Amino acid sequence: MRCHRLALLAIVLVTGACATMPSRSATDALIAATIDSVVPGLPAGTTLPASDAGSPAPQLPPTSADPISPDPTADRAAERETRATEERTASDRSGVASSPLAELVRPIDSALYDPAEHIAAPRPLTISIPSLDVQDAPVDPVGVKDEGELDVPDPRVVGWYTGSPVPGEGGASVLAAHVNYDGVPGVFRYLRDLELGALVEVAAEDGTVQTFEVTAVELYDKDELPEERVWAKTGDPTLVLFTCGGRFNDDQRSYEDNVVAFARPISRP
Amino acid sequence: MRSIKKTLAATFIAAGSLIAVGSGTDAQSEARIHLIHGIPGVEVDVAAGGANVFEGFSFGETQDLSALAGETLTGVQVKAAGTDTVAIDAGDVTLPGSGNYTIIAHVTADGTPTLGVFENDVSTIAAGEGRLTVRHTAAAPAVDVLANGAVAFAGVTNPQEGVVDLPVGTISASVAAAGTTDPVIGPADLAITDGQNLIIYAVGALSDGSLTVLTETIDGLGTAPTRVNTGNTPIDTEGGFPYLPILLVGLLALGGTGAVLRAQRTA
Repeated sequence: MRCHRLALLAIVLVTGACATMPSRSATDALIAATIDSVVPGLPAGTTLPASDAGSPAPQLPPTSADPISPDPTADRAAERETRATEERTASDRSGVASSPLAELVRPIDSALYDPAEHIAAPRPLTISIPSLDVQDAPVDPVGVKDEGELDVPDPRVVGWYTGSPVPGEGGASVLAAHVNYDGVPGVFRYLRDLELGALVEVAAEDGTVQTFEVTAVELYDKDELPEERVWAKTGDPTLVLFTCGGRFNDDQRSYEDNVVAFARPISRP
Repeated sequence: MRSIKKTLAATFIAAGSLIAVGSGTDAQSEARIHLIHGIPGVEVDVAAGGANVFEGFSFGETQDLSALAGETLTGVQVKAAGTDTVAIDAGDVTLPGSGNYTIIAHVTADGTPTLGVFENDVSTIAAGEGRLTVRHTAAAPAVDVLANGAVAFAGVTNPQEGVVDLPVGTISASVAAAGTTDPVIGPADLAITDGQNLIIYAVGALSDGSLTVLTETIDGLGTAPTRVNTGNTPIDTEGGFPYLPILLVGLLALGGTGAVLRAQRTA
């Protein structure tokens, strides 16, 4: 779908863009490559580090009343309902548990599988920054290179770091584009000129468009990025737009600073 | 290899009252110990030292035992809820004083209730990746775990586990009898999340169709990209390679050729 869309651009861009997209087959290959090292013969019966290593394993006699036999009719929804009921009644009879340990243990999140927690949020597809004449610039998912550097795509394409939340989700959603590359101006060429309150629109693959407004444009030494801010996994949804700026280091063919623009959502899809 | 299934050991010291509980030592703050109920269709009470610690504990529920790190619990029993019928008699149990562990009440391959202890892999995960841990804690023979249709972990038996770090994204996972591809669990989508260890427990019994999965997540294991390099040319030398002029010249040349052709045709 992405490739088809990008086919409207020059061939060279399509090639570059598609090459950066993680493919399912690549993931499969990675999984397959790790099989042998992952499942060795694991010894059972190893004791806890804090336990007496010489002690025998606990005897676990089957119970006469067989209270453990699973109920095949209990589906997930029923389990959930049961659990909700249990939570209500647990507080009613909290005085019943008589052990002094009771105050030290506490129930936490359910371990039941919840499909809703595993639905991939719609990925960003294009970005527009009207005040910079950026119109529907393509956004590609990118990861990091082996040495840990963000894998910034072709200068005409914006990279969404897949290790960051999708735009609009809690935390810092990182979008990065070149200021220029090999003399070609990048999508974020004029990012440093963004004014506070400028609008940034991000269209997702499900057709929704979210609008953000710029709250800050900062220049950071690349060695002194405010990591807890630009890589935040949780907290207020924030769009973090990265490009380069500051002094150009001729020896390293690289800029010494990052221009980073922050934007907050002003509309929900 | 780095992760080993451990069977909870009983110390069988002389039975007595609980000692030094809740003293708030440093070790307690370093440990993370969770207890998961992984036996479908049964509700239990958990007792230590002859008294219930918590009651009405049902399938899929989780208790945080971190505050008990390093403690020895005497006479640990898992009983059918509201009864004195003992399902698991674990004896005296010493919890780890530090580290990251999950204890799960589950069944062995032949269906016997047991307590399994797993040490969770909380080593650092590379930027852009998440960790998938799969644990066989079900009454079922050896299984293969398939991800996106391909075998990811082969011949896993209760209580083995497999651990792998993957690029973030969503995978479709299923469990099949070893050497087969017909799912006995799933397929189900699993979100591989940056810096997170997603732990999947296969639980229940194959014989009565109660096989399913429980999940647990441990966050904050990730690393950020080391650098964002977004330019290799000084802005003032932009246009060093004259793409636009070349394009314009090309178009003009094409247009000129067309004009010439038209001129020839009309001539």
